[in-house]
Amino acid sequence: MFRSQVSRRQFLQSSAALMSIAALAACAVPAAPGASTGGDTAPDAAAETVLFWKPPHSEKEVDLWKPLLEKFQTENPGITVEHQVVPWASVDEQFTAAFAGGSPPDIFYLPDEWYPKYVNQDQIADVTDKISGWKDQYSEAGWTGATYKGSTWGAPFLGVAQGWVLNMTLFNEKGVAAPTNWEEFRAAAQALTDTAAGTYGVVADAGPTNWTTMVPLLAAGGTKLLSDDLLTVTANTEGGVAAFETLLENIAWNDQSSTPVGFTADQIRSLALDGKIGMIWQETSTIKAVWRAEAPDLELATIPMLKLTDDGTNASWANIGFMFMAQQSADKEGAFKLLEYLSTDDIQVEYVQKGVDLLPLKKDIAGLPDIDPIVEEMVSWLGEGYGVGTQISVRWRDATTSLVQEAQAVLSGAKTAAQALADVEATVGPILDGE
Amino acid sequence: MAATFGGVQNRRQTAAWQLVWYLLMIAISVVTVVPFLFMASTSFTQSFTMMTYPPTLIPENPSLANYYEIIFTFQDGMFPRWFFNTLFTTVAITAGSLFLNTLSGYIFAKKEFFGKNFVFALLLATLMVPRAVTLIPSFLIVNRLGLFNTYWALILPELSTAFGIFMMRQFISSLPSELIEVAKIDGAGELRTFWSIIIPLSTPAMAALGIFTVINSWNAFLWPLIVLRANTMRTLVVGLATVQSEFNIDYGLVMAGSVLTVLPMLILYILFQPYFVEGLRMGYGK
Amino acid sequence: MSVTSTAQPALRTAAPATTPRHTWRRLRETLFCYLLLSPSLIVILGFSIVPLLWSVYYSFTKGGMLGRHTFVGVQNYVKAFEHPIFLQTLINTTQYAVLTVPVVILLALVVAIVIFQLPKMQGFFRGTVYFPLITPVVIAANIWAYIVNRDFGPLNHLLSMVGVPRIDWLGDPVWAIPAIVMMEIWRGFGFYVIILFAALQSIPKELYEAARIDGAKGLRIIWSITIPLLRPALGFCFIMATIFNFQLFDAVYVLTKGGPAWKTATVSWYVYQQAFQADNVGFASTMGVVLLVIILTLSLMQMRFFRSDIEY
Repeated sequence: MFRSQVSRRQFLQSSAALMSIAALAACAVPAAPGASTGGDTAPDAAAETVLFWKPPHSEKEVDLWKPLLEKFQTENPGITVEHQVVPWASVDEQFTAAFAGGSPPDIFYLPDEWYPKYVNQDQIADVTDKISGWKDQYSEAGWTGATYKGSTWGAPFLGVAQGWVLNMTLFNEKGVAAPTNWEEFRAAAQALTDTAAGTYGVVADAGPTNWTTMVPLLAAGGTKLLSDDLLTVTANTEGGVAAFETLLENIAWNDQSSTPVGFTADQIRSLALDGKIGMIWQETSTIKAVWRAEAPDLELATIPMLKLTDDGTNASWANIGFMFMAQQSADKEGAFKLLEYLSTDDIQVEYVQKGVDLLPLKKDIAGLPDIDPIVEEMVSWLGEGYGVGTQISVRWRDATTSLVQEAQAVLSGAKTAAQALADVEATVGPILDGE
Repeated sequence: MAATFGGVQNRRQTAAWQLVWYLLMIAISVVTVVPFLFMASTSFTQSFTMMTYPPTLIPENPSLANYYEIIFTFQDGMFPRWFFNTLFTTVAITAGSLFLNTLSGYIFAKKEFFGKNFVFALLLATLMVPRAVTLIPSFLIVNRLGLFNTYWALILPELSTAFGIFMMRQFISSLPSELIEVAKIDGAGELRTFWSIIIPLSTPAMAALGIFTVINSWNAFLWPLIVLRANTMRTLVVGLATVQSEFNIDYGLVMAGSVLTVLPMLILYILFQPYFVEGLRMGYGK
Repeated sequence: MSVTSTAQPALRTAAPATTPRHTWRRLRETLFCYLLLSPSLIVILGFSIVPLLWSVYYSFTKGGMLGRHTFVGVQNYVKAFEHPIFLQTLINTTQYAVLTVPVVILLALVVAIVIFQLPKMQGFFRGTVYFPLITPVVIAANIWAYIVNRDFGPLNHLLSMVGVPRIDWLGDPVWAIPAIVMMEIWRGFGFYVIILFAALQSIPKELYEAARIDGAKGLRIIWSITIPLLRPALGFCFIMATIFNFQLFDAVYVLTKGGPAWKTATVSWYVYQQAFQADNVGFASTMGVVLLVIILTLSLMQMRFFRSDIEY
């Protein structure tokens, strides 16, 4: 008896010792150089760290930001900026985890379709008072996008426009002119498809992100995805169905079971840069970084999504992103300084325009380098009112996911366009409950 | 079939059938292994295009450039950090869980106490709970404990598992109780009995469970993805996933990273495979 | 349990303990055992049982990842069974499991038997069939994505050699689930091979001898002796495979993201998507609980069918 009691005590002592050693070890290592754990240690009064998160718009994201952030740190001694590139695929998980963990990034970039969710979680700081004075410096579309539920949440940072990029080299080869209406578009697509030569008249991406094609397509058919009050799905109209049916035409034109569903994004990219694709829906960011860089000899032109029905319009996609400040930010002053810095003309020129060739959202900026004519044209449509954008809503992503899934069903022959849009209405309608 | 199940009369037929079985197994082995060879082959190519058709196994201009890039330059040298993170957490989880699972398995196997069967049944029942159900609350618990973005977030939930306890319990029940009796007669306390008798005898099962745990920890994806926030804290698998969602996917780089991730497990597996199979046998069967 | 020989003095009485001294001793023993079990129990309680209960609670509420949840009673459950996507996920998950579980176990059984009666290289082949399981799912899935690529993947290449037209595996709503089924079978069958192989090893050889003397051969022996004796092992495999495959997530997350046309959306994946993307944690929990009930029911049914094995 006596012996086993001693053993028990010994056992407890040794396990306690083991556990504490393990605990010390585990706590010690995260403090190793380079790791910024946040939440564990209170920020030093002398040197504050502002955590800056941004999903990438370029392969050289880190290199582009280094000099810009160093300049900020020189001008603001006492503030250190830690910049992290958050991959697009894990934005949801990372932001959720960061907010839930109580140590969020202080300043972060998010596009318009992503941020309402976090506003509803009370994670984004309401900056209406702080930046309402900036309004006149920005384009109207940019500023409207930053407004949700009556408040302004972030500083407009960059915009993306999209349109059809025409491979005029191929057009000229086949003696086809750039289309100006939908009938000509169809004709061109058919004329440019040549299975023997391996060329495709038109390719539209049906991957998970192709709602940026779908929504302008609906506009060409005269409808929007959601009603203005965000309470109903309005895509299921005659025009919408007609628009969806053109997806099927994609198949006929290209003599494939389906273009994008068969090809990966890389394959499409390769084909496009080899000059094998006549018309492809592209973002402004790819013009300089991809097309001009890797296929400089191709002659390019651009057109918007062309009007399909009588009440439709030409349409182009416009997507805007903003810089936000976290509600839970430990150092709001320092973070706001960074926000101000990121909103200067300098950054708009150096990063947005020169760095990633996207659209700066401030008006009248000096020092903008020459814009590529293709980009200029795409942007001009926004001015002409062709820009179709995100309807800022927390359910927008659900709605567009549904739209994409149904489009895939149409493309692979599983559903008719009418059925598909009816299903979008059936699945998305019930979850719209106003904001 | 002849040797084991009978049914063939002469040596010629036996040999013929055996040839068939060997060919079949070689075909199956090709199917399970060769795809990974494609992965390895891709890792040695520069400017990768998966566009070669028909598919080729030997790269044209093999180069180690991808490896160099991923180890030294990628994101300023994150890869070695990920490697360390994975190694540390895997070792900690395996050591800790082997100890706790064996101890708990021993208690369930050899000791009598009130509520034993009920608690054990409860443990087994948790095996059926889908991860989808426990994921979010576990995440919130880790958060509340302030363990976010620490190694503990990875280690703690895995320190003891129902599966591990079950396996060790099955094995230890098959150990003869006399040995424990004898030890008691000799005056050994609980700790000594456990340490000097049970553990040495359980090595096969521990080896099997150990390898199983190592592989699972090393390859874990979803949980590390959501509880680790900083790039410096990531594990290999999660880090690799981010390489993939970089702006433009460089497949050669991704595959090089994949090869480096799989390699340690492969080596471990080759070295310890006999133990592994033996242990699974005992863990499940008896 | 072996019998203690009468030569040794019995240390423990076989008679039930009724004296207070014995009860007190049992009590101390119980306390001691729970003490030693406590680390394990705390971990499992904290990360399995408490989350389960918490999820059940959440399933009756509406709310997001952070902040307040409002109690809505069974509304979520009612909505769930009218929800087109959730219902689709139930169909998908069932389709997937029905295709995968029997095939993977049958395949594993055949392979285990084949390896078992090879005179040499048993260890080598056991190693190769298990190989995909030592790799992370992410990597295996990416490799598989390449294999089933419509234009450049080896699978279509092989099919085209026998005249089958190219299939767009991951993009076609009809073929996406079969593609994932194939991947999971390819990836997972090694596990069951090892288990069944172990079970085969424990069948006494004398039984085969006796059967052979009686004139039975080959397949007949396998059918009437081996397989019945493997019943416990097969039951174990079926139950594990069911539990595992009904929770399919990784492949969907990496390869198809629920598409095309929601055809590969499994319950687990949709739960995750609703929780992390749509911030619909209450509803996600509801779906999780439904999945739990399904898995539990199936497991219990299977346990009764394969009765007499998972004993403890």
